[in-house]
Amino acid sequence: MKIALAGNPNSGKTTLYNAITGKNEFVGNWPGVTVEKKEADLKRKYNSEGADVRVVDLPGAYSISPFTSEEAITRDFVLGEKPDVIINIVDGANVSRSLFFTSQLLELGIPVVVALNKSDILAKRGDKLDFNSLGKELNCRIVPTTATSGTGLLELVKAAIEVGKEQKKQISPSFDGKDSNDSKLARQKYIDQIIEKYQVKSRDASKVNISDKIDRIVAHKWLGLPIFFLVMWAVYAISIGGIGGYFSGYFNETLFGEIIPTAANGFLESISVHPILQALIVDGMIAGVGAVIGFLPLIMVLFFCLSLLEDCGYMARVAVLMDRFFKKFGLSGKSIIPMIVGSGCAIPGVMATRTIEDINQRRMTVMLAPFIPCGAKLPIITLFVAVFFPNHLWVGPSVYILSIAMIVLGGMLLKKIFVWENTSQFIMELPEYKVPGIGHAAFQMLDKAKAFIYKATTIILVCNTFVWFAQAYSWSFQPVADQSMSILASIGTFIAPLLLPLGFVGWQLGAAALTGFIAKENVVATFAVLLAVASEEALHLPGGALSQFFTPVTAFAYLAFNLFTPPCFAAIGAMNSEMGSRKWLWKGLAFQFGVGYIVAMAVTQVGSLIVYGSPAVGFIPAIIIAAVTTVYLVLKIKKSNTQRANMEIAA
Amino acid sequence: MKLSKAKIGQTFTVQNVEGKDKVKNFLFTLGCFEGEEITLVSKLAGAFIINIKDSRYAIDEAMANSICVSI
Amino acid sequence: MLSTIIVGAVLAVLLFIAFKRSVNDLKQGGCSGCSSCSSKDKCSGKVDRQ
Repeated sequence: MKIALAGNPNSGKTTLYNAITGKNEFVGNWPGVTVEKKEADLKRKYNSEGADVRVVDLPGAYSISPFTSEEAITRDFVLGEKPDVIINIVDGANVSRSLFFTSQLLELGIPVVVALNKSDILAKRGDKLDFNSLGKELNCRIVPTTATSGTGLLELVKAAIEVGKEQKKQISPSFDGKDSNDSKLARQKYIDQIIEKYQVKSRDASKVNISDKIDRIVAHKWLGLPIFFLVMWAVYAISIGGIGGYFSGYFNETLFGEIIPTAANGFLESISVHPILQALIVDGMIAGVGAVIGFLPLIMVLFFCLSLLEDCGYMARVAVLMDRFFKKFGLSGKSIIPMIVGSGCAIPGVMATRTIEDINQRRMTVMLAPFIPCGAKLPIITLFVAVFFPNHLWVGPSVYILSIAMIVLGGMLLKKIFVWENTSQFIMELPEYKVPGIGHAAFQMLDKAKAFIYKATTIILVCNTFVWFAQAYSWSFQPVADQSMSILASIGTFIAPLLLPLGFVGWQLGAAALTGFIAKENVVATFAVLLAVASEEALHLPGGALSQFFTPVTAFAYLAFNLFTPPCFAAIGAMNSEMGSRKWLWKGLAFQFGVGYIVAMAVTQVGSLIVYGSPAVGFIPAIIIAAVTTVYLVLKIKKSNTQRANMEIAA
Repeated sequence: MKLSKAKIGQTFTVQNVEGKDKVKNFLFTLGCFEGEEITLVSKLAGAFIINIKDSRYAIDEAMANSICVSI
Repeated sequence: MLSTIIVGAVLAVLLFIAFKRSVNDLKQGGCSGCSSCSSKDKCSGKVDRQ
């Protein structure tokens, strides 16, 4: 049996889904958190008869005719795949709006059970709903539930299974004018009628409430933006500088820097393992994976904070706040949500763009969202800051400011280059604030920690082993005395000329950037392996072994290069599916690569001139590249301008 | 009168909604159509916070311009 | 010598598992180490893969 969960956005479908399946899917307090359908088996606790029941969670929708692309997923599933039962989650905080969708679902012929969710809010407001009579009116069972505490869920699931077994066709309520031309209006009128009949409201929703008062501060014309930056700064200060940073420092310097390698070396020597194997284990696997796992505390604290932020309802306000600015360069306020989600990982970030109605705004957001440093890029930032800027606390946050600046500049550039009509309007539901669940955040944090460890022990481990092998052997599989004769060196040397205008000298930098496309943590891991073999100094110490490759200026440029060039393969895959066409994917990748390259080049060359008073290596090729890019952009913008002018004439 | 010109804190009756069909339909499903009540709760950061039925929405000025209301 | 073979064998098995999983994840467009991911079906850290 297949049970589908459908209902308005932010009505608590995923919370209910998590409760009855035992999953830990992501929930947040803003409309449009779920952008894909999800499936799982019903939890044993709710399935006393042991029937074969699958539960499908769907993205929220306001009606059966979709407004955004994630709403279309819901419609396609309900109409196309015909679940046996639909549990329609009705938002207790807004029953009358939810019933519009309910009445449409009732007409599909699929049995419907209504979950009157957030019934605690209903009770708190003092509103009364005669759900028994309402159920009779609609010809379906109505069960009051509170998904957050689990109240009423047993009864709900029981009712759904019963109805599903009966296999009876759902009879829809009839109302005047149902078949007329204006059936939509008749439907709304009908719902207004029954609400009047069965619901007693004791609260005037239009009165100013606490949420409104908070909104007047956090979404204030002038205060709003500083508050937002303060909040984000606090999140990163706590995770990078605070407890997260403290434990990560211990992990990196002491645990993976000394204790574990020493112990492993001692153990392997005592059982007299072959030195090559010992080197592979200690210098290859432990050094590489350890360099990544060391950042686990930092990542965990970051995700804990982000989870709290997403749970309380602040995100919807940030979208409102940003709309004014983002509109100026062709984005929507909703574009900020993919960016904040993207600060965890670019993939869900890119997928979160589905809530943006306008396809062009969506494409631009897909291109720009990966600029925000994701969790995997954090290790690179922290490592470089620790080594090159130990006494400059501003460098870490400045990376985020740089990325926001690049989103703004990139957005303005894209608006100039691409030709389209921008007519989209902004609307966003503002959910009421709630106290974020600590337990939920802790669960999320453990979940991410698990995923992080999994990643470090699979793809990062495999890459590291390859990197160790490739730096220790030559193409003829002979061990090399000098790394520069190895396989890795020859691959790195191949792309090194490309990086010369950026002031990056050495095959190691090319090789590390290359492994970064598989997973960004690999940049750190690759340096860890290369330096574990080549030098005795610890990787993370200020002025450590890394400084043989970089000056502080080129180090910052290398950071920028890794942040802005296209993200990892998995994220590129997500970009591909959200862009909707190969052509746009290539445009996006070219744009990202261009931005990453030019920014790194500018930082190196301009920075070197200012800080050291002399240009960095590759100054002349850099000037040539800068000139060519400028000419290209000027021509491109000119062309777009004529196109735009032609469009206006045609219109 | 356009909603964007309305006074904060007042409840109005929607007269008609202009604009693209897609947006009009969407507003319709939320309960914003001729004869329904709409309240302008506040103006924040260039956006208009409105109340339709039991929910708050933020809309931009362009959308506020497309909703005509009367007292 | 014997210890080298044993440790080597254990290592080879570990690497093989890691490799197989990585390839699997890449094939499925698996996402790894994610934050607010709304689609855990795609997440490689997922334990019970359907």
